[in-house]
Order: sequence, then structure tokens, then C-alpha cells
Amino acid sequence: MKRYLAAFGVVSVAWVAALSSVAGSGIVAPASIAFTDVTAQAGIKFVHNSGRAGNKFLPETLGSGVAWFDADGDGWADILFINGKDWAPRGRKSLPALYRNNHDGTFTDITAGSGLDVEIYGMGVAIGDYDNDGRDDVYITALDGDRLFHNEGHGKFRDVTKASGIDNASFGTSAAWIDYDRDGKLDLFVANYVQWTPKGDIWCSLDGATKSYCTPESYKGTSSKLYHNLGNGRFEDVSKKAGLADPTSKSLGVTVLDYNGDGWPDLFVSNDTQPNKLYRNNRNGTFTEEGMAAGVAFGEDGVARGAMGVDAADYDRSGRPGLLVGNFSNQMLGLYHNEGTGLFVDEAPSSTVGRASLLTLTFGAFFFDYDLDGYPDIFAANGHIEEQIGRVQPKVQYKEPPLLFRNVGERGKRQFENVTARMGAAFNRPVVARGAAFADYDHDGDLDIVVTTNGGPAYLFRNDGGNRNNWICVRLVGRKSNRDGIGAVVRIVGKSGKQWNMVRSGSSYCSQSDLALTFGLGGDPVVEAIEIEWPSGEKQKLGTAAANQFLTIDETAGIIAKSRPGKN
Amino acid sequence: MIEKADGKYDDVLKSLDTTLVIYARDRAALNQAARILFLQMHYTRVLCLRGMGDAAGAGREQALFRRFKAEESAQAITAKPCLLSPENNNERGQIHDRESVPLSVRGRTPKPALAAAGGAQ
Repeated sequence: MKRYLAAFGVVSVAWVAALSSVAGSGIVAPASIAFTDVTAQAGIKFVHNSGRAGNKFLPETLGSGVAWFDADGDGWADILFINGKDWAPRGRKSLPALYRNNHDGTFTDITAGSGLDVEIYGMGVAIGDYDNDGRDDVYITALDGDRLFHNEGHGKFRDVTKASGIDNASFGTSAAWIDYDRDGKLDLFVANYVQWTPKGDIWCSLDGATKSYCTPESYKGTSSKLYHNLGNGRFEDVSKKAGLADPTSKSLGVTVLDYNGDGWPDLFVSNDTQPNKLYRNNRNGTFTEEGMAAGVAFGEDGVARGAMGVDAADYDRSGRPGLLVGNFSNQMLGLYHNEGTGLFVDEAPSSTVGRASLLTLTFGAFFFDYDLDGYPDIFAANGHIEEQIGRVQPKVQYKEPPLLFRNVGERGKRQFENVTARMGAAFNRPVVARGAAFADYDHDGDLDIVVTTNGGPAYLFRNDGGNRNNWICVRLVGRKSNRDGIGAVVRIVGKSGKQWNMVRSGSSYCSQSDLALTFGLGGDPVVEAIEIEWPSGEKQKLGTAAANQFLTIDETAGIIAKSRPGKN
Repeated sequence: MIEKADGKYDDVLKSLDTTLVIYARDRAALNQAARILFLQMHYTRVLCLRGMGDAAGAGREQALFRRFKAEESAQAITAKPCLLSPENNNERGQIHDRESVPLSVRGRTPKPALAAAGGAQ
């Protein structure tokens, strides 16, 4: 009992993070890594339009997301920024922005004529090849109705929303492609927020006199949606049939994980001021909600928090995925350790992660191994919803710097250190961040970050120095499984141990990171084995592979492409 | 609240008692004390017992937790009164500045913030 009392905060526990020790010899110390703001030199000029014009409408606070994906099939990560629009026409057009990767650290805006150049009040994005044609398709959540765009090749897209049968105009936020029935076709989960219309917008106030942005308690929730892929480009709404319909939820984030290790993808859905939901896959097309029993529905005090972005990863090499949840200010991040018994323990309150994130409002949040030491680190993109918050809560600010926590990486210890301040002045600039995603856009092996801000510019942060450790990057090509290999588990065996990750769509907030999996190898010069468990049930075992290369692995043919950093 | 965030619940209750000696009907203090004594205690026991594999005990505590727990969606029924009353809405909000409400606001109908925007829906 004592252990659990301690873990749940009943007994005060001081967790002192080790500041510089690194497990294993040959691993580069993190002090030599920085995230450099290369937005301008990369040619990215995107500025988000929230539509704000004084009315303080709820949706203005929430947008928008961003996606890394290979839009044109050249093997390099391109960027799609989602945009809002003006509530009433003001003589300007606000479009999403599609930036093509030029392979030299710069990008070119190819939005015009791409088919994605439609003016919608966009929120989030999820990437997946739903028709298994080898090209990644785009799903955009939008206040005025979500859109599905089929990738026609060469950076061109076609709106197929109507033909697909998807009809979701329910304040969609985050979304994720998931093959929940493992039939080889990607299905789609869409997190929906609240019932809101401009006419029903509630008058909230910080001071009782002037309108402010509302928190969502006064709005009715709305059910998220699960769309089953029927093939031939058609989808069926199976939310009720699958047991996912819940009209009380106010969902902002979704991550796909196999928390009970049964080989079937489960769903964790974060809710704003409502209990989070953990949907266990029953392997028969239905799900059972286990959030309360699993200890992930509430904060440690048994109260629902304002949860936003989410992600899952095996951050302690226990073999089980834990959960990361971004929360409202004064609520700290949730860092749920998977005990392997169906129970999660929130370790944030007694750790550096919790203390450092107490005051910030986190939207985008994900695990990624920025220093390639083999242990997933944590990134949190922060920014409040109310411009005037500092007036009534002086310790909380509207613009907030992000947080970067380095996983100290000693097996079983589960310690993180806050390394944000070491990442350079630009990285530490306070912004009103929302979406966040990662990819190795410059093909140098380490993971870079893109962050969107609400009503402001986007930022591209290049990871400089992360690749001083060894790494390997794996991209999957499914055959019996879905083409992206979404849901596949890749296990890497190296001298310094085993690690694994699952290919997943969604996660973070309204955003999509690259579907390729990058594994940090620390000082290991070679991977001894790569094992892949495909959603089809196929198990693949590959032999040794040298570190510091990109591998493309086909479900039937094995390794079909290899390349080194900087190469096409 | 700092003590609460640190998990020092005995210290929190002592601090709240001090407040309640002076302000016996302080809503925030009573609310926090009740949360710790009933809601949080039951929730913590749910998790502890489940972690120890005591499903029956966890189920019992879960039932008690649900009994005392606030219904999160209940506030949605206040939407209409909130639309009509800035004072009530101000008090309801998790984030507000109670002291700075000007007296002149009392009884005033809020100016409709709903612009004649065409909106998204």
C-alpha cells in the first residue's frame, strides 16, 4: 500500500532529478544540443488566423494544428498548416498552407492549386493512406464540417468528403487513423469538443464586466466519432455500435496505444473538464471504457482536468506504453505510468515534469527522443486561452515558453530533467502555442519540431546536435496490413537494450507527426535485430543493420530501401 | 493549494481549519476541505486498492467516490442563466477576479457579445 500511497501523492515524495548523468558510455551529453529557430530561413511564413474580431468566440482560442507528411511522394517530410478564417468576410482569404520540402533545409509554399486551398475554420489534421494506394491522404477537422482529401499524387489533393460518407460538423479537434478491426483498411477516430454556435456563445468574464473566453463547463459536450472504412472510399459511422458514443465528452486529444499488450489498438481520449476516456478494444469491433478503473480519467485529486494534447510511449522501457496528457494551467501535465495491471499511476505530481508544468497550459504534447539516447523525452507546447489571464493570475501568462524534459534514461528510475533553458533563446520565447509535431525534415537523423501558435506565426525548430548519438529510422510499407503500417509495433534490439514503438496517427494536439519511427541508439554502432509485429498478425524478424540510416521495410519483401543522412 | 499540490493533505486540512475559524462559511475553504475528506480520499483509495489487486475494495471505494463526485456535465444546464447574468457567470468561472467586479455591474444586462456574424455553422 505504501508504494501506491506514495505514488498517488498521499505521502509527499521528493524526486530529485539527476542533472547530467547519462546511462551507458559513448552517449553524448545533452548540453551540446539546441533547437534553432529556422522558420525564416526555411521560408515558412504561415500565420494562423483565429478570426478574432472582439467577440471572443470560443473556437478562436483553440486553433490550429499542423502535420508532417510526405505530400508529394519524394520521401521527404512536407508540412501542412491548418488555418481558421474570419467569422464574417473581411476581404482576405485564410487558407491552410502546404509547404513542400526542397531537400535543402528550405520549403516552398505549394498551397495554391493543391486542392487543399479551401477556406474553412480548420482545427486539426490526421494523415493516413486510407485507400492503400501508397499516397498519404489528409483528414482535416473543421468547425464548419470536416474534410477528407484524397492524395492524387505530386502534391495534389481532391476533396472526397461527400463521397466518403463522412459527415462531421461537430467541432472536431484532434483525429487519428486507426485500423481498429485489423482488416487492413484504416478507420478514423475524430475527437469532437462541445456544442457551440455563434448564437449560443456564452458571455464569460474575468472581471464581471468585459467579455472573456469561456472555459467549456457551460457548454454541452458532444460525442466523438468512429468511422469504419468500408473500402471503395466509403466510411460508416459506427460510434454507437462500437461503444464510443458519449455525448458528455468534450474531447480535444486522442492517442492510439495498445495499453494491455493484446495486439489490438486501444484509444485514449482527453477531455476538457470531463473525465478522460480509455477505450479498450474488445477485438470484435467494440470498445469498453476503462478510464476510471485505469486511473486516467481524473487528476490525482479525483477531479476532471482540462485535458488537451496527448501521446503514448514506453518511456521507461518497461515494455508498456505510458501516457502523456497536456492540461490546463494550475493542473500540470499528466504522466501516467502503465503498471501492467490495467492501472496507470500519474507520476507527474511527484516529479520534475509536474512541478515544472504546474502553471502552464499545455496543448501540443508528445514523446520523442530528441537526444537519440534511446529513451523518449517530452515536449510540451504551451499557451493560455485568455489574453488577460496575467491580470487576475499574475503567475500565469498568456504567452508561455514550451517545456522540454529529457528522459534521464536509467532503467526503472523514470526520471526526467527540465532542459528547456538549455535549448536557446528562440526556443524559450513565450508564445501562444497550440499544435506541435516532429519529423526529421532535414534528413540528418535527429528529430525537429514544428509549433503553431494561435493567431500568430508558426515556428520551425531544427534539432542541432541530437544526431551526435547513433540512431535508426524505420518507415513501413504494409501489404496485408494498411499501407502506412499504422498500428505496427517495431522492436529494436541493440547492445544497450531493447526498445519499441508503434506507428501511430494522431497524438499531440490537432497535429500529426511523421509516421516514420526514429530510434535513438546512443553509442550503439549497430542494431542487432529489428522485429516488426504487423496489424495483419504477420511477424517479421530482420537481422543486423548499421546505425545512422533510413530503412524502408515492406511487410512481405523486408528492407526495400536504405539511405544515409542527407541523401535522396 | 500549494500543500495540496504537494500531496500534504494533513497540512492542507490544518490550513483550511485556520481559514474556517475566521471565515466559517467560506465557500472555497469548505469546498476544498470536503474534496479532501470525501472525494479525494475515496479516489485515492480506489487507485491504491486497485494497485494492490483488491478489486472488491476498489469497487466499494469507487461507488463512494461516484456518490460524492460532482457531475461534470451538470454545469451545462446553467448555460442560459450564464448568458443572462454576468455576475453569476463570473462567480461560476474557474478563473475570475471577484474583488474587481464594479458595483455598477450589478443588475446590468450584459451587452450581447454575440455579433451578427454569419459564423461557421
